[in-house]
Amino acid sequence: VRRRALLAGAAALPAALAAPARAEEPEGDPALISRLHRSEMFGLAVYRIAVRVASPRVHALAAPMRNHEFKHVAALATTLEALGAVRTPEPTTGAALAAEARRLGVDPVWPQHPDRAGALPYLHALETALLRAWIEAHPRLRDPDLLRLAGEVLACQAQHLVVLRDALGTDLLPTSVEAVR
Amino acid sequence: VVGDARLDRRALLLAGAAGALLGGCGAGEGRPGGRDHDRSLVTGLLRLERRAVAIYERQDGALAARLLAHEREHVARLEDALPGQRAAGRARAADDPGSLELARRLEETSVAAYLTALPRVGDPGLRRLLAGIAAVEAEHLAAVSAALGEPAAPAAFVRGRDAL
Repeated sequence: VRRRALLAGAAALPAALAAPARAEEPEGDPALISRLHRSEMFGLAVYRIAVRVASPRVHALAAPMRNHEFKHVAALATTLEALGAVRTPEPTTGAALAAEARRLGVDPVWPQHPDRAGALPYLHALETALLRAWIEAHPRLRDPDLLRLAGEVLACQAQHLVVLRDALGTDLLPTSVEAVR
Repeated sequence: VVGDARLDRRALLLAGAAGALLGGCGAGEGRPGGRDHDRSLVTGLLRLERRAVAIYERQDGALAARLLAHEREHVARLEDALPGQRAAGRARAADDPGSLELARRLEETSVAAYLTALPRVGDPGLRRLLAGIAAVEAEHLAAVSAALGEPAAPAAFVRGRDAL
């Protein structure tokens, strides 16, 4: 299974390489929100997978967070419409999931070949990446209303991390400032 | 944090409301997004963080100790972002010990204060720092809520509490 997963990941590589590099993506609020929307859609897809394969204990904590991701995606979709920006489709294929995982810097294999044991660590890695994405968006966003929305979602992702750290038995509050470079 | 779950009203009043701490920032000193305006916003957040330090200094327990360490670090970061503020006055806490409920109110206020300040800050680097601290304040709120036996992440959009 591992070998098949790696091959599947490798097959998705050209798509990932074809995607515009972060530094080359156009700046501006619509582009930033579009990228965050893609990230949150990936998060929602991962939570849907995790809830499907998880143990009852993990299901109980992941289901509410999946619902939060759904609301984030909906709010960002509405925002994109208001901005007149193009909405990318939800990643559903293995290649699309792998491309989004690579873009966020998380393992592209698990969402395509999920197992119960890996659910919690993967959700933790996902939330860490999402929180970083929201923090890094803050210096670039310009519109105050978008910054307000970004702050509220950022705070939610941070709280998700606490839930997952608790479930993993790790330090709940390991740092005084998140995503320090 | 402590066994006493009674709400210490004086301490809450001391902590102040997010809106009051950032009072006037919308039409405060300097042009919105300008350096003086940023300075007045950070000064308000620094005041809140110093009060949080003063309150957590009077609480016992491992969680309070961690929250205190983080709030002290936030004070240091904000002072670094605002030269000349290091010698500013130290906030005083109320006489009575705090409680988990007090910690929750305090963290809710901190979350609201940072989320209120962020859209008003002009300097991108400062905004990044404040976003990183805002995330930790939301984590504090989650940890305190969990210690109270309540959901750590109850809402998709976390807003904190503007008024105590």
